[in-house]
Amino acid sequence: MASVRLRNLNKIYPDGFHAVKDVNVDIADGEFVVLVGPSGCGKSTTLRMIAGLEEPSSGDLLIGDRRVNDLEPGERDIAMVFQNYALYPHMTVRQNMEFGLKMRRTPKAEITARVNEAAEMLSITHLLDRRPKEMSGGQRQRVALGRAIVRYPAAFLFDEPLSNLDAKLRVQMRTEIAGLHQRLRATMVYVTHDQVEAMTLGDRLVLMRDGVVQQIAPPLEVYHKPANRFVATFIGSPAMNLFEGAIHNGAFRLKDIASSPVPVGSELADGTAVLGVRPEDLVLGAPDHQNFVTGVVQVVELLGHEALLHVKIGSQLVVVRSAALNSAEPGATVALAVREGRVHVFAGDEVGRRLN
Amino acid sequence: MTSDTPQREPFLLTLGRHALLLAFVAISLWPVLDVLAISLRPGNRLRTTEFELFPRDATLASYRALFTEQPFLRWLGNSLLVSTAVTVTGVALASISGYAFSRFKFVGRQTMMVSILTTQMFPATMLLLPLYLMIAKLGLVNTFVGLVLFYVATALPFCVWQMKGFYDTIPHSLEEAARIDGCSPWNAFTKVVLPLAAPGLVITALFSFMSAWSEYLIAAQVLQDRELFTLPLGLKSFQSSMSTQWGLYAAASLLVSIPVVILFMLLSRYLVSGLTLGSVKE
Amino acid sequence: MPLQNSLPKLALALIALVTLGCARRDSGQQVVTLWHQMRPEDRAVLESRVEAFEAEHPGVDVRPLYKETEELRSGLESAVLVGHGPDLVYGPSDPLGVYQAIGALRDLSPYFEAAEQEAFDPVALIRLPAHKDPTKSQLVFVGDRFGNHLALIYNRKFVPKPPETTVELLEIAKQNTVDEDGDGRFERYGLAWNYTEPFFLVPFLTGHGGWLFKEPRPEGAAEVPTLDTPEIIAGLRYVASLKKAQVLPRSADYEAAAALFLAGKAAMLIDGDWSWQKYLSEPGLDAAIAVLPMVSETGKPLAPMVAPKGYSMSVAVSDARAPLVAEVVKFLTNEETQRAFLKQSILPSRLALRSDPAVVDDPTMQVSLAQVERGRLMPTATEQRAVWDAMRPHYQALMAGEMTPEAAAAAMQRDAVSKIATLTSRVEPDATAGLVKLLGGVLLAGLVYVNRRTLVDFARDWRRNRFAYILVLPALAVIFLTVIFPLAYNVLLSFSNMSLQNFRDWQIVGLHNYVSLLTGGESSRFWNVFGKTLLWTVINVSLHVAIGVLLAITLNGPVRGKSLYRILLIIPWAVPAYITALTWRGMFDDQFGAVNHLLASWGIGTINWLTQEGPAFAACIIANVWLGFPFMMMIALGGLQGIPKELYEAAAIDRVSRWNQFWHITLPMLKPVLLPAITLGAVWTFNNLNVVWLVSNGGEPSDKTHILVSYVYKAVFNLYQYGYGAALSMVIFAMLLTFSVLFLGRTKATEAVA
Ligand SMILES: Nc1ncnc2c1ncn2[C@@H]1O[C@H](COP(=O)(O)OP(=O)(O)OP(=O)(O)O)[C@@H](O)[C@H]1O
Ligand SMILES: [Mg+2]
Repeated sequence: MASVRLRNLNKIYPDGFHAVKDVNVDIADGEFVVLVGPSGCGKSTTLRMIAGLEEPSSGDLLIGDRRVNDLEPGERDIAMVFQNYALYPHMTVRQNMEFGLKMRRTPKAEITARVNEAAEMLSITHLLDRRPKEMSGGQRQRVALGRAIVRYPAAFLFDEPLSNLDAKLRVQMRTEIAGLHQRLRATMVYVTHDQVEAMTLGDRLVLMRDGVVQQIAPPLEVYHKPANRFVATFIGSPAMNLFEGAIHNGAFRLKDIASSPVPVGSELADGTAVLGVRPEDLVLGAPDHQNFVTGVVQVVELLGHEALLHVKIGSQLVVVRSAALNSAEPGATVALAVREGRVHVFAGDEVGRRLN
Repeated sequence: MTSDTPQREPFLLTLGRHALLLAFVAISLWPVLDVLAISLRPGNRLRTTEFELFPRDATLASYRALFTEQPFLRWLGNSLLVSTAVTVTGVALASISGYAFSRFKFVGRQTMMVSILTTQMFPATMLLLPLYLMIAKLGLVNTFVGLVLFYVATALPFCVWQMKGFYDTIPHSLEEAARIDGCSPWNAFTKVVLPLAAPGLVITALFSFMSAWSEYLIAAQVLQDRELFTLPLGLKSFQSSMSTQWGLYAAASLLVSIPVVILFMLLSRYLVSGLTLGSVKE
Repeated sequence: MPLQNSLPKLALALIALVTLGCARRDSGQQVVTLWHQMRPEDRAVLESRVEAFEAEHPGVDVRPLYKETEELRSGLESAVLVGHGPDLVYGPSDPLGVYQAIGALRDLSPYFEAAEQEAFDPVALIRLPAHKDPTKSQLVFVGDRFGNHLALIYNRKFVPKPPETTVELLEIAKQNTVDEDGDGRFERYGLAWNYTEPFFLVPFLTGHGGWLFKEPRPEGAAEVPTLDTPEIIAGLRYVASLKKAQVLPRSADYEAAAALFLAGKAAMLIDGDWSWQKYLSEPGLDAAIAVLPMVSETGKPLAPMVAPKGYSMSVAVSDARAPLVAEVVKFLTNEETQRAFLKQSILPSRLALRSDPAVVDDPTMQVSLAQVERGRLMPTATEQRAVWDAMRPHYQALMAGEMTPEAAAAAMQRDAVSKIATLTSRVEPDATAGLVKLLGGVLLAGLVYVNRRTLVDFARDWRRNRFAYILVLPALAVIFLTVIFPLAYNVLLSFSNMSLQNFRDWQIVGLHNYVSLLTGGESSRFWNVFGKTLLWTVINVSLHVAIGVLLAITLNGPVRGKSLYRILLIIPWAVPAYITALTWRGMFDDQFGAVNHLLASWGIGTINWLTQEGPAFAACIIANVWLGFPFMMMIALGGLQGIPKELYEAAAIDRVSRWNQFWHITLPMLKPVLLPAITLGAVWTFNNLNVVWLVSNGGEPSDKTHILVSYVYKAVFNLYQYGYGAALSMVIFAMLLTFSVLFLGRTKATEAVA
């Protein structure tokens, strides 16, 4: 096991595309870090640079205390699990799992022991003599995990390992990977664009956009204190509601629409800003609250124990999460209040840095 | 193999498949049966005016003569030697260079790929005179080395392209997995990619073999000693203007095709092995 | 994989074997190579005489080798150009003019004293003016036999007494042309011969008083053809009248005519001495030989061409070795050798042997001798080749009933004159010569200049992609090292005047070849053939791919017995094409071919495949499609393996029709594998000389069945226009290159699939 450190890492592809820009991440020994971001943001590229499959254009990469920039992938002591499993089709499951060890000239007895152990751990012992094409997708992904495990690598790299599985299997495998991490206590770097995976698996998340790191923090911190508007909307489902307006004397007021001011803290300077409120932090108006704004209910999605209300405020649609019991009818006019202390204030510029 | 277990299909479709295959088998065999008839006919007759698959006066005399009066076995040996050498060299060179063309974006890659094709574009008959001059100057007359070199050179362009095409269908992530598993680039290629390109290897092997096995023009320039003849040369020596030994010619032609069919039988297992099936999901 | 580990060892062993295989016993023996054109039956006699010679001359190894005409010539050509080739060539006398014109022969007269020469029939020793010095005469050929002459073979069952005049010939032929079962098709014909080679026409011309050339030959000038004289027309008319009298089969090439006679379906046959034994010894056939009849109107005999066959010494023989090589010639033409050949019913060239009992008592020999005495000596002039070339298409048209005798005579004459002009013309460097040389230099320099950036990039890239470069290097080296010289030579030749007249001393003359190719008298012909070639290529390749993919998909499904099907379907590819192409020709025979038989039995009319332009072309295409589909099937079969099954399963769930699955999954997935095969398949088909040549027998009917390569081949090798041919092949090259670059560019085949 070892730490993984990325120092000012850049990747410029031969066609001139700057895919990864000045990335700095310190991954501690045994930590589970999830790289997350929208498609094309450079997650895979970053991961592949760690693996040695892409050469960084500049910057340093350290695994443990070694600078590994110039090492072959095989010399970096890492294991990787691919989205498409990348099992060797001409080898049986056992041979697939043995392959990396054989390449490293591990003694035969130990190879067998390790493979059996890993197979046990993943309950694929009965599959050991099959070939990849004779297995289901879930089984293949398990074998791919097994192939990584037997190596006892310093770090595990995952590139969207679950995205080819159906929803149910995905949940199951997710728990399994989480269990694996607890058991092995290994350093893991996991790429996904699925925020549920990110939230549930990661000790820390690295949020990326257009090759630039937006925030590095534990999942809850990312959820509760998103570093900017992008992170705020990317994490959480349904997405955070954003209101444009301005701050005046420590209170936020909507632009163009009549609303009562929301206190955001007196330390904030006056000027345009964006107010972010998660759907569960908007509550249907009650007499003891000071209501923020009123709107008309457009659609009501009943999810069982709760309901999602799509409410039109001016020309904007916002989503409100409420208990199923006290929801409203479509067409009804409702007043909305904001839970105290649960507001996010972002700068009104392009980036939308967090202000509070 | 799972692909061999017959799936349930509409009866009509199965019937259609067999009808189509049988029709083409008939078309394939018909002229060959004609060759068989010539080989069994006494008296060197290419044509008859009768429609008979099996000549009434059939005789195996031509086959007997091939083995007793003609150095057929010697030619067979020479051809096997030359063709095997060409196949091994051709497949080796094509499989490694095709890999480079498929996987690496190096300067001059496209130019190189197109330019190896250009060597196929000259009508071969026009190049024979300079070819012979070159062979004579280099002292390659009556050597198998020279012949093998030329055959490899003529077979390679197709083989390289074909291998490149097959590598293109193999996902890169397999080599990446192998690299992470500790393979050098070379090992990742030979241990993971190459076995998966088996159908391509089979096609290039058969093609290289065949291009040496049946080639006549270049061999006639290089080999000028009956002892060193390859089969096509031997075959052609039965032919002379208006007095060809058709019986020997046809018998030898059929015998010549047997090794090809055997080779195909041996290799076609790998041609349809379907190894990449299910390896990865796109 | 065990196979991979043993591969290098296997390769090593092979290399050792290959090298060993060519280490020939060079035990200080004097080797004399003899390239000959003996008939198969004569080769055994030759071998035994060679052995006898070697027994008498220890330390000498004479190596006879059968070579076909064109190979014999190319061997002599290289003897001229690099001093390496056969020492002796043996064959009929007719190409001697050409050999001498390129300076390929050595004078044999120092080794044959006058007394020795007396013993030969004078026409068996051929003297020609020396290559560089026309005043000197050289002995370039010593004949050991006479022959190659046609005579009449008749079936005694139908013809008790052979005809002595052409009137009788027609009479007997008519009696023997019978439709026994009254189905409108004849079961037996009166007479048959080969309609494709004008050699078979000659007796009819001479019998009517005609000859191919003006006699005597004009001093110091080229031979003048006389193919449009009243005598020639009379000869052609007679042949046409036989055809009109329906005593001849509708169509017949050499093999078909022989087959008819052997089956008792032709009462009489005209064929050469090389074939007589075959007919005489055929069980159940009572055949006999007779001299060709006299023409009733002229009182002249139908006189076939006669040629001696014999030995010539090539310039590859050094002065030091010449006496020994001449010794071989002497031995192989001596009385004993000729007597050994008598058993094969061969007419000896030594006069003493003409009274040998083996000659006198053999009726066939006597007929042969009588026919030779009536024969006309085959000219050795270079012009003969041009005349054959001019006569062939029109002779074929005449026999197919598509030309009148008058028109045929006029066309033969016109073509002969122009071909002889081509053959004898000398091209001198013109204004463009300097330009071409200059441009060549500039172009090379320019290429380097334009590519200097690439070179710099390359040097930079070397560090990053060294692995890739090392991988491609061996293949590139093998490909280019072997072809670079022939290609460069060809480029030079295309700007040169290399021809029969300037074989050795050729030089760059400029754009002459290209200009005459694209604008000369033959240019419209060129574009016509080009169009046909395109058609040929497109139809062939499309059918190869369509059938190949269809069969592969069919085979890839759930079919019982697929491995057996696979093997049976690959057979057209496995059997050598040079024989199957010929059987296809047989199958397209008008009367006895299987194809017409089948058409007739299905109630479709029969087609005269090989003697009409369209059907002949179609026949070539059908044969070539047959030859080519298995390979495409094999490639498609391989390509299909790379397509994941899940794709089809997903498509089936989405209720995508089979057709759409094929169109949207199978084909795109096959693309990377099929593209190289299609591109190269098109290139090969475009340049596929063999099939067209064999099925159409060199362009029949009347040189209308040609694609560019067969056209080049015929143009170049019949009239020795090396420069012109090189230019043509450059044009072909340019076309194919353009096609490939466009096609590959469109299909992005050079891109790696990411
Ligand atoms: N070989 C390459 N050459 C040029 N550009 C590339 C190359 N590979 C990737 N890119 C570009 O780099 C960017 C980042 O790619 P990357 O694969 O890292 O995205 P990602 O975050 O993994 O996205 P996804 O979630 O879709 O997998 C993309 O815009 C992509 O188009
Ligand atoms: Mg990715």
